[in-house]
Amino acid sequence: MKKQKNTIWIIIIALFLLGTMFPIYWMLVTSFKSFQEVYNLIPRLIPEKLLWSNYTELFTKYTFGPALINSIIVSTIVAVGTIVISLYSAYAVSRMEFKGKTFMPQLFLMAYLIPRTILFIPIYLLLAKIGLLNSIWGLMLVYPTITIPYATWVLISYFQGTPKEMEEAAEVDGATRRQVIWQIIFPIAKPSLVSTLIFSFTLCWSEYIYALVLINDKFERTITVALSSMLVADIIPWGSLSAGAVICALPIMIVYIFASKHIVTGLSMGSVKG
Amino acid sequence: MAVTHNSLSKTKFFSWENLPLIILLLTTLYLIVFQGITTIWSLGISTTNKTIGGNSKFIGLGNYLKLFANGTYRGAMWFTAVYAVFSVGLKLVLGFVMALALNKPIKGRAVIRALLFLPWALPTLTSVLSWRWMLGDVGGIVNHLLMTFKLIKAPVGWLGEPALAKWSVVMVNVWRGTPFFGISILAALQAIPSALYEVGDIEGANGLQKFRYITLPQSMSVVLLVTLISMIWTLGDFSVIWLMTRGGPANSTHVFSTLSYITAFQNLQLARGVAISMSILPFSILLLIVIMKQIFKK
Amino acid sequence: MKKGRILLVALVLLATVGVGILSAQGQAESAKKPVLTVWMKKQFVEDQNVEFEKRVNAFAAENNVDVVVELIAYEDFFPKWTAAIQSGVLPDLCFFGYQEVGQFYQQGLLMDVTDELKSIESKYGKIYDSSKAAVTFDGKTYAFPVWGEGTALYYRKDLLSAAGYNAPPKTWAEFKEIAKAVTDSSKGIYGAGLGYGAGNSDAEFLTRSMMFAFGGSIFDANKNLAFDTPENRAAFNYIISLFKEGLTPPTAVGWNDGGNNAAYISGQAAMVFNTGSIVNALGSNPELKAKTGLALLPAGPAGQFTVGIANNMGIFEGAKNKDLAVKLMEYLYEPTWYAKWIEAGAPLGLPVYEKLASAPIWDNEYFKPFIESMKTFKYLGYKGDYTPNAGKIYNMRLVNTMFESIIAANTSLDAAIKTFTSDAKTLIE
Repeated sequence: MKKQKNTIWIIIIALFLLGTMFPIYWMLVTSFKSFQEVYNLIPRLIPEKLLWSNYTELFTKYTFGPALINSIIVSTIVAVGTIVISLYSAYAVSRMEFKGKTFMPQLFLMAYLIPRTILFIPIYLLLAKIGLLNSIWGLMLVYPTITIPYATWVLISYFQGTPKEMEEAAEVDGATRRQVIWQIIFPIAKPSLVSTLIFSFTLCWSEYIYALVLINDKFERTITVALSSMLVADIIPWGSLSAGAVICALPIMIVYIFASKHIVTGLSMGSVKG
Repeated sequence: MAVTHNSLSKTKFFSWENLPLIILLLTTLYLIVFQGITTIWSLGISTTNKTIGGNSKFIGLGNYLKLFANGTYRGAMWFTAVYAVFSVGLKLVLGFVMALALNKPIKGRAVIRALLFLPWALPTLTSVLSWRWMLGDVGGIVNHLLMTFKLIKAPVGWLGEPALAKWSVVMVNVWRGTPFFGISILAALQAIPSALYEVGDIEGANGLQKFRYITLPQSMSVVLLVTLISMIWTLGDFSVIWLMTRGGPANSTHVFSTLSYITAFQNLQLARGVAISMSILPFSILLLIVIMKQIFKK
Repeated sequence: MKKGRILLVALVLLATVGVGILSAQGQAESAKKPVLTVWMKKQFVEDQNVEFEKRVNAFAAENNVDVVVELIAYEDFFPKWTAAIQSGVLPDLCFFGYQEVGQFYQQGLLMDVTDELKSIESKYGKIYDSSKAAVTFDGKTYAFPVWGEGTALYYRKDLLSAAGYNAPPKTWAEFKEIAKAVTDSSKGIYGAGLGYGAGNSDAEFLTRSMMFAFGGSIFDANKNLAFDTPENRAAFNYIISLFKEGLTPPTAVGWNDGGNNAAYISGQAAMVFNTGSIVNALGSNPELKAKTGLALLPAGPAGQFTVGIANNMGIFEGAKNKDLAVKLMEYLYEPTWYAKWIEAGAPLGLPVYEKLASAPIWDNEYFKPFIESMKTFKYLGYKGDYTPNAGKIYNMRLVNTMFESIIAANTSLDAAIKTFTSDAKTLIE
C-alpha cells in the first residue's frame, strides 16, 4: 500500500523533472555547440563535440565577469536585508497591536500594482535626484521594493498559521522580544525564511528593466543586461547566450542545494506523511 | 497575555521592545517614497496628454475613453485576462502537486528540489528565447521530437497561428512560474505540525481526508497569498510575451504591458501608454481586497 | 549566540550599503573634468565596438576630458531614451535610428546640426544625399548620418542552377517562378524564405520594398494615408500567393528577425532578403558562403526599390556638452579612421561618404549589392518624407499584422485592408 503510493509520487516527480529539465538540458547542450551546429535544420540531442569556446567568449567578448560579480553582490545584500526587515515587519503585524495593523501591510502589496515597465521612469527620476544613477548601490536601494512586499507577506501568512503558545510561555518567563524572535520564532520559521531568502535572491537575480535603465557603465552592469546586450543583430549567438544562462543557473543551484538542509528542518522534520 | 508588550506608550516608543514596529514603520515609509509617490506620478500622468519630451495638459479620462474605443486595446484586455487566469490556474494546480510530491521522503530530494526550482532562477531573457528557438522551425527540437515520435506529420507553427501562439505563451509562463508556487507551498507544508497528522492517523483518516482537513486549511493562507502575488505579476507580465511573440500573430497575444510599451516608448505617447498599464488596476485591487479578506479571516 | 551573529551580519551589510551609497554620491560630485557621455548602438561585428571605444578614448585623452561610452543593443535603447529625456540626464552624443530622429525632432528635442554637418562635409567629403534626407526635416538636418544598412537578395547558386537558372531573379515575377522551381518540400527546401511575425522588423521593411516596386506605398507624396490602392493590392496578392502556393517554409508566419537568417543558414530557404549580417555570419561557414550569391532586390512594374536603414548620431538640445559632442563627432568622421571602422563591419554597415563607396572593398561580390542599394534608399514615409506617423505604423507592425491575419487567420484581403486603415487612422489621429 505504502510502496505503491510512493511509486505514484516518484512518477509524478519524474514527469516534473522531464518537463522542467528538458528546456534546461537544451540550453546546456546548445552551450556546447558550434555556431553552425546550432543552425542545423535537424537538431541533435547531443552535441557533436563539446566546445568550450562559448564559455570563454562570455568572459573575453561580453564582459560577463564583472556582471556576474555585481549580480551576486546586489542579490545577496538585498536578499539578506530583506529577510531581516521582513521578519521584524511580519512579526509586528502578526504579534503586536497597533492602529493600521491590517492596512499597513496591504500598502506593501500596492507596490506591485503598477508594472515595472512603467515604474522605471519615476524611479529613474528619483535616483537621478539623489545622485545614485549608474551604480549598483542605486539598484540595491530600489530592489527591496520588489522583494520586501513578497517576503513580508509570506512571513505574515506563516505567522498567522503558527500557534503563539510557545512565545507566550517564553514571555511569561520574562523573555524579551528580541529573545522571542531570535530564539523561538527564528528556528521554527527557518524553512519559510530560507525559501523566502532564496526567492528574494532570485527576484533580484533576474531583474531586468531597472538594471537596464539605471545603469550605464558596462562594469556596473548585472547579468541580465549583459545577456541582453548579446542580442545585437538578427543573428542570435545561441551558443554564448545559452552558456550565459548555464552560468547564471549555477550559483542558484549551489545556494539552493546548500540551503536545502535548512528547508527540511522545521516542525515537520522526519515525520511528514500525507 | 503579556500586556506590557502590546500597549504602546508614547514615551517608550523607541525601545528594543518596539523594534519590530519601528522597522515596520520605516519600511512602510520607504515603500511610500519609492512606490507610493511613483504610483501617484503614474496615475497623474495617465490623465494628461503627455508625450515623451513634450508638455502635458490635463485631459481627465480622455486617454481611457479613447482606449476603450480601440479594438487592439480591447483585444489586449481580453487576452490579458485569459493569459493571467489560465497561467495562474495551471501554475497553482501544478505547483501544489509539485509541493506535495517534494514533501515525500524520496531519495535525493535536495537535488531534485534544486533542479525543479531552476526555471524560476534563470533570467527570463534566456529561458524565453530558448523556448522560442525550441518551438521554432529551424533546429526546433519540439517539432523534431514530435515528428520523430510520429505525433505530427509536418512542423507546427507554434507561434504562427493565433490559437497555438496563445497556448504557447501560457505554457512558457507556466513553465517558468510553477516553481514559485511549488517551493512556496512546500515551505508551508513543512510548517504543518506533524502532530496534526498523527491525530489524523489515530482517527483513521485516509490520505484524501488528511489532505482535505489538514493540509489544505493549514497551507491555505500561503496558497492564497502566492496566488494573489502571481496573479498581479502575471497581469503585468511583459517579457514572456515580448520575447516570444511581441503581441503577434495578428495581435492575438497582445497584453496591456506589450501594448503599453510600444505606445509609450516607441510611439512616444507616454500618457496613453501609462494609461494602458493602469488599466489592470481595477482588477488587481479587487483581487487584493478579496484575497486579503480571506487571509485575515483566519 | 546565533542571533548575535545574524544581527552583526545585518548591521555590517547595512553599513556597507550606507558607505557605498555615500561614496557613489561622492564620486558623482567629485568629478571636475567635463564628462562626455556617449551612447552608441552595439554593433554585430565586435571589432567595430572595440575600435569605436578606442577612438572615443583617444579623443578624450587628446582633449583632456573624461568619457563614458555605453554600447547598447538597439531594442534596449527605448526605455533608456525615455528615462533620459524625462529626467533631463541626457547623453551628450547619442545613437538614433532615423525613425527616432524624426520622432524626437518633432518633440523639439534635437539640436539642429545643419551647419556642423556642412562644415564636416566641406572638410572630409560629401555625404550621400539619401542618408541626409532621412534625417532632414523642413530643410534642416537633425542628426549626423553615420552608417547605412542595406538589404539584398541572398540566393543559393547551387540550388538555382540545379533548377536551370544561372542568374538571380531580376523581377518579382521571376522571383516567384524560380522559387517555385527550387521548392522541394519533401526535402524541406523552400524557394521564398520570407515570413511574418510581430517580432519581424525585416518583414515590415521588405513588404514596403515590394509595395514600392509595384508602384504602391502607405503614404502619398503629401504624407497622407493612401493604402487601399490597386498597386498595393497587386503587391499584396502577389505576396499572399507565395504563401498560399507553399513556396515559403511552413512556419514562416511566426518568425522573428532571426527567422530568415536561420532558414538560410540551415539550408531551409533557397532565397532570402536580409541585411549584410548573414554575410558576416557566413565567415564561419565557407562552404555555404561559396554557394551563396547576392543581388539587388528584384524590381517590380514601378522599378527597383530598397527600403533602407539610416543610422545616426545626434545631440539632444538639453545635453550638457554639446560643443564637445560636435567635436567628437568630427573626430569620428575623420575619413581614414572612419573607412577602417566601416570596413570592419562590411557589408552590414555601409559608408555615408560617397567617395568610400568606390573603395576596392566594395567590389567584392558579397558586398556590392548592399552599397548599390544605398543609392536608391527609400524610407518609411515614402512617397513622402519620413513622419512620426509612418514610424508609429511600423512600430505597431501593422503591415505584418495584416499579413498574419490573412495567412494564418484566414481573414479576407478586403477585411484586412479595412482593419489596417482603421488601425492606422487611430494611430495617426
